[in-house]
Amino acid sequence: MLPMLQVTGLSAGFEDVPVLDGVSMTATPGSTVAIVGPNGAGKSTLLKAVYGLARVRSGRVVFRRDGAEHDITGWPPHRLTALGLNYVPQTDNVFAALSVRENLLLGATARPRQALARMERLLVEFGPLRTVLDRPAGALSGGQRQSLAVARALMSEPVLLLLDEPSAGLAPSAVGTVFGHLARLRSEGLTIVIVEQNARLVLARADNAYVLEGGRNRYEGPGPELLQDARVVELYLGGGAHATTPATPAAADQ
Amino acid sequence: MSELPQLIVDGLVSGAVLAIAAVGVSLVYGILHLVNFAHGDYLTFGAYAGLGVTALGLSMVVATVVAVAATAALAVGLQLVLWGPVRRRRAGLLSSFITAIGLALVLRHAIFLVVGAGSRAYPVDQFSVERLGPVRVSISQLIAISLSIVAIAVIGVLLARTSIGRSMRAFADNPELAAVAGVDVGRIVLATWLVAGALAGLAGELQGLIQGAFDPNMGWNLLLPIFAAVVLGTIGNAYGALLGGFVLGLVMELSTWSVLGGGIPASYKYVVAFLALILMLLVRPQGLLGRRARAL
Ligand SMILES: Nc1ncnc2c1ncn2[C@@H]1O[C@H](COP(=O)(O)OP(=O)(O)OP(=O)(O)O)[C@@H](O)[C@H]1O
Ligand SMILES: [Mg+2]
Repeated sequence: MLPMLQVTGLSAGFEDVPVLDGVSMTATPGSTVAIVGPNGAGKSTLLKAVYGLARVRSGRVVFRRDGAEHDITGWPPHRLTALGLNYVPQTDNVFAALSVRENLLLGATARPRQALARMERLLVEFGPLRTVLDRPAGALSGGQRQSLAVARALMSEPVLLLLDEPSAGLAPSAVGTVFGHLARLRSEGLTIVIVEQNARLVLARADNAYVLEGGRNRYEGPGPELLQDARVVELYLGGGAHATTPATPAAADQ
Repeated sequence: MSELPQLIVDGLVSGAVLAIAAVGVSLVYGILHLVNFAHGDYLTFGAYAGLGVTALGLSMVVATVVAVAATAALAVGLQLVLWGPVRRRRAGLLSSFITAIGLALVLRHAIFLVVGAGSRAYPVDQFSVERLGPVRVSISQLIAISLSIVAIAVIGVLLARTSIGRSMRAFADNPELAAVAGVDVGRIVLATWLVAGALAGLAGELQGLIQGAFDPNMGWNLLLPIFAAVVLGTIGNAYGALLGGFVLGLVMELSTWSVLGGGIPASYKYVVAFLALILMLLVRPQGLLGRRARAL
């Protein structure tokens, strides 16, 4: 099957700061792809470069949908969203000054038709948001905020979702909730590219995974296999903070 | 006896005009991060655009529509030929600021070249006044206050209830995330100028009306009270700018109240506006509607 997202030899960065050096990755339709690696490896920059928020110096980003192929290298974010992608940034991923309802409706900017009905449907899955619809998003707890960020992205009905560390800084129960959402979205056929600090958690669930280091590809393979790989374990999982992170409750898996 | 109510009415009228001018400055600052020092001259442009229409023998209604439309077009046009290219060259805050001052000078002198330095007035009877209880309200003042209220209501609905208004607020809050959500940044920039320009055109015409006579310096003279209103109401907050405009209009008029040690001469009104601003910055630097900055 042709990949839905295909990044080839991407070099990108910010202004005069080069970060990525020839990074490649693919995501086949319906798969969950994990991007892991140490702090500063360029994981966030990879997502930003795909989403038109970092400066691409060379390389190519291709998106395929319904048999059509689009070279989306350097496209502005709003066009990507209209095409069927979405992105949840690592930080500042809600409109703090706007209400939860407005955050959700903004998510539908690219697909304004029947936005209210879509919001109602999402509020079934993201139940706790319903009670805070008129609160400013800036007043939400970390877990609610992360749920809102994901729900906002889903309002554009994407087929490919890029997620940057959705569990960062969350209490264990909130991490379970967020991963529960992701498990459901995956079962619904959404293609997911997810960056995670909590490598054990995400590798166990990823169809495919890439380890980045210093802005380059280091290892790649099916998530559970990398989790068994002695080199990867030693480099990123063994002895470090991650090793002491307990696996999330199995409930999150269902 | 009727002096105080009269001053309050006068203050509300000039405050309303200041308010709609200040909202435009505030939107441009909050959304585009540009301090538009030329905004006063956008007002002057609107005033003369309206005057040109009345000179053709057309009514004030047509003049108002033209003043609003022409100034909105000016603002959008300047975005396309000036601010867009300036932004693409990644000009810093200071260079944009200097550019705005330059634009102010160019606009003012261009208007001066076309219309001359003399004072002009709209063909509205300045001496026809209505008595409302203890106060006298001129036709010009009635037009100014009612159109300002309509404009404020329209802006309120636009920002709070429409999808373009919501996108504008989202863009002011977090531009990158707005783009990710699907907001077309270019459209927001143009919409912001369209709204700010339309408000400037209306404010310019109304200021010309309530002043009676005006010349090409009108907007420039008004720039400092407009900025004071913006800062007073919390810079970048559109609702704050509205409030700041009304507060400042009232403060300026009430400062001439004879009970206050005989009142200060009316020509010092703008000085009073600044004293009010400085006092405000000392007591509540975040402005009327701002949140207090967290102490470090
Ligand atoms: N806006 C920016 N401007 C300049 N340099 C940046 C910018 N954002 C990130 N960088 C630099 O790019 C490098 C990679 O950052 P990036 O955020 O992609 O890492 P990461 O793998 O996501 O790390 P983390 O796990 O801490 O989130 C870092 O050295 C960082 O300092
Ligand atoms: Mg990161």
